Amino acid sequence: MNEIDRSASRLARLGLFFVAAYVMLSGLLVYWQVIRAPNLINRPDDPRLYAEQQAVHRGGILDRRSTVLARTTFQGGNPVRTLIDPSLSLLIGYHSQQYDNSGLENAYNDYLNGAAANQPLDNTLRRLLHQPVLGDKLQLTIDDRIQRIADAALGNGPGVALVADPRSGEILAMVSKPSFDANQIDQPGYWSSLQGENSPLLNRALDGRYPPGSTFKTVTLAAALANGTATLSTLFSGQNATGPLFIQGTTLPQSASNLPPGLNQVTLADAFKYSDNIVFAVLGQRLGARKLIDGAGSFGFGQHIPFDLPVAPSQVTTNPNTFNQYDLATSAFGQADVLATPLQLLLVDEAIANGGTIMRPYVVKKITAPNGEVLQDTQPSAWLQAISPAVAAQVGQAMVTAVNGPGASGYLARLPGVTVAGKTGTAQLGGANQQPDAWFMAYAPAKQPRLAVLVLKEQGGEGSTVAAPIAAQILGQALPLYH
Amino acid sequence: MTVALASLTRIRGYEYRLLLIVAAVLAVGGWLLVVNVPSLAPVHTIQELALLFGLYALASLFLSFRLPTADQVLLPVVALLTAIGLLSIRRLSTTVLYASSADRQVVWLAAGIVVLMATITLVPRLENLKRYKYTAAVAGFLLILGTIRFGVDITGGPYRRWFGFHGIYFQPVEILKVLVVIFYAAYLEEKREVLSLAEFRLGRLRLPPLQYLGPLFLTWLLSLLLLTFQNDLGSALLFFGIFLAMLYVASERRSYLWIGIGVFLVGVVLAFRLFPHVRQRADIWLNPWRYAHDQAYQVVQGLIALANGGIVGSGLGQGHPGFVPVANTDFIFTSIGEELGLGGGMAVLGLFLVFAFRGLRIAALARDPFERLMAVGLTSTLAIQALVIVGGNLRLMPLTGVTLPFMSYGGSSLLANFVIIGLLLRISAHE
Repeated sequence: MNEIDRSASRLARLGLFFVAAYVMLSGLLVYWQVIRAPNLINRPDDPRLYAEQQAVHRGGILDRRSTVLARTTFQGGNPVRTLIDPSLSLLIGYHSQQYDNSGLENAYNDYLNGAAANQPLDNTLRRLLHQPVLGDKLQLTIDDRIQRIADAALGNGPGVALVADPRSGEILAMVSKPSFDANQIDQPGYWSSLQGENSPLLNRALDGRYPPGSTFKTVTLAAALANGTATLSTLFSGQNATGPLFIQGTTLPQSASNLPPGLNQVTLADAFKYSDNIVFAVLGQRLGARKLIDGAGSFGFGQHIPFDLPVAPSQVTTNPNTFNQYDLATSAFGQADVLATPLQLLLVDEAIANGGTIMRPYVVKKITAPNGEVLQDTQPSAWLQAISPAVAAQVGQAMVTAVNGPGASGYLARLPGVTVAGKTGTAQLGGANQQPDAWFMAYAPAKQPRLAVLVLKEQGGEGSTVAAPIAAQILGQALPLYH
Repeated sequence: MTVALASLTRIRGYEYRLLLIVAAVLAVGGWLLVVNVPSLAPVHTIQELALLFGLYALASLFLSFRLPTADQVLLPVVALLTAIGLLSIRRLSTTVLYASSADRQVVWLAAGIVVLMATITLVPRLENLKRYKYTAAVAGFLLILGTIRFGVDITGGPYRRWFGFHGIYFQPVEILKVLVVIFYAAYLEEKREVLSLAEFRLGRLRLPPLQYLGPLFLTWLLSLLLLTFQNDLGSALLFFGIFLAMLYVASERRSYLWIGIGVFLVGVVLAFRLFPHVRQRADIWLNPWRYAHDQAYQVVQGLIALANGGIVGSGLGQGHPGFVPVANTDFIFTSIGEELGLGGGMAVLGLFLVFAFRGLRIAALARDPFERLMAVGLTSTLAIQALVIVGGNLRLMPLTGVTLPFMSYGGSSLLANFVIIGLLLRISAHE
């Protein structure tokens, strides 16, 4: 072999070395880009995840009259989410870079950020053109004017105010306090300031479970009328009207009757008007545990309430097996282990206003894609037939009397020129120094109800003096605005 | 008239046609940048890319007249690598940190083409370089010692790898590549006769003659200097690789190769034992996920970028290559992999392999052993350098700071690499 040949073969081997090395690099490239890629693309330390969120022009949220409630604007290339009416911070929720989303911002995130794949082509094209992806627009059933009325009427301090149209189930206002300001969620220190005992991040209207007190008498009355246990004119007299009652070694004192002095005989309708706990304890015992629990169940107690956001279930009792006569008697006027969310009590109110039919409650009216295509157009639908129209009419009549009758407990809810139907509630909480929760449920006009209102002031005192005027104020201001 | 026609017949048609491919890549890439990255000034971007093509057209024309028989593939391959590199650097200029780098890179590319033409003009015969072999060796050592003593670290670290001069920073190690190849080629060629005769035997082991040991020892020393005083594992690997490739081609004995590798490994083990920062680097290389948020952040982010690119890539201007630190130098390969996908990464690797084969072909056709060794050394320099940095990106070896030839942003690297191309073109020309 001469020098040239040897040299050439060594050059060829060097070439083979380079081929081997570059084939190895290509193999590694395949390894990282194809084989290992699925493990690598969802690592939380990939800044692309955040960048993709940033590149979305999140859809706006409007009220029923198309007033803007929440919108995204770009400031210096960065999207900023603004909630125009902060009283909706619990319902609409926050859209945070650090704490994800809450409320409707969370429940409808896939629509709002354009990921619901309704227009994959449009958004792919927008990505290609480096334009922000457009999210879908939500239109709510909320009327922001009524929302602001309810927010102002409820005042400060913990509580709930709900306004709905009983004919459709549409929620018109949802106020829960204490609340927070969704616009400040990413401000330094703000998040930790919301972690206090009064739970400002809790939407009490949906997730707060309270003893409903005398507002629950509507349920007991409806069950008794439906089962033929009593009529509105059934007379209760003596101890059955005024107390005291002795049940299983416990006394329900005379003071629980709420009757004017000297009165020792009442009809069931008047007992409802005065909010007589003794009569309802007797009525509950006559009705029996099974019928009371089933009657409440027909209004939704113990059931999952279909809604745009999760709702805590309400209950008559924790354990039906240990449910004794005393529990039955006190449950009949909304104490013992009866627990209800404000939304559940609103549905009871709506059922009576709407001839016994509970319309499915909803707050998202319409979802519209950026190109104008309507993705969801919510139509009212019946959820439960709680009671017959005849029973509903009788309970409704009792509720009109409970506001407008002589000596009625709900007299502070009267409005000039319009008949209000309602029921007070004053729920004892058991603590020695605790004020009771003040409740009022109402609807108006009584003949053709357009609005149902539920008011709760946590530890506010008497339902008749604290909650009823708030409900009246909301109805008085909202009725002219809503038809 | 006849002179002009005679000149025209020498137009390098093959090279021109290959350059048209480069033009097509630049046109498509430019269009994608303008459409996908609205924040880039479109006219400025197009002007820059057109200027790049003009520079190569000029270089090709220059070769037609000065070196018509030179290799016709080399220049288009380099043109395509610089084109893809410039498109990536231009695309990254939307990141504030890299805002001016594309403009600077174009200036350096223009200077590189001038250096290419100057090299061909100033070195009419490679033999002339032989005379300067010891000058080259001494200059090389002075350069490296000078950098260790007087250099600066533009990254703010403790390792002095740059010379600063009025705001322009130069990496002496880039010049060193050329000096080292000249020295080895001349030395190995001169001792060739002696080497084939003399041989030591130690038991069954055949040791290289002493004449080999001199440069071997020098290379070993150089590599260790780079490794320990400059923490420059990439350059250490590169110089050792160049030396082994040239030694392998110059000698007949495969044993030399193994001895060379053995000596290098001994050096690496010594450095590993003696210096904590070398140990730390090895640890980061082997356990990057553990250091994903500090020392291995770059490597891990580079791999995440590649994974996001996948097979087809996110598309030029569609990904986020700027999320990887130093995306336009050490990690330009992952930038390309993210936006151009597996195909883009493979294309870049393929281009370097084509370059390596073309360089070895030039070596095989060289007129004399010195030119052959020069061609082998120069070709290996760029082929190994690409291997070392891409290998570092892909975790084949520890991450190093050498540039990806013709693609990474950086002036000294570009100029030195164009000198190498100039010399290779000169060797390939047979008048």
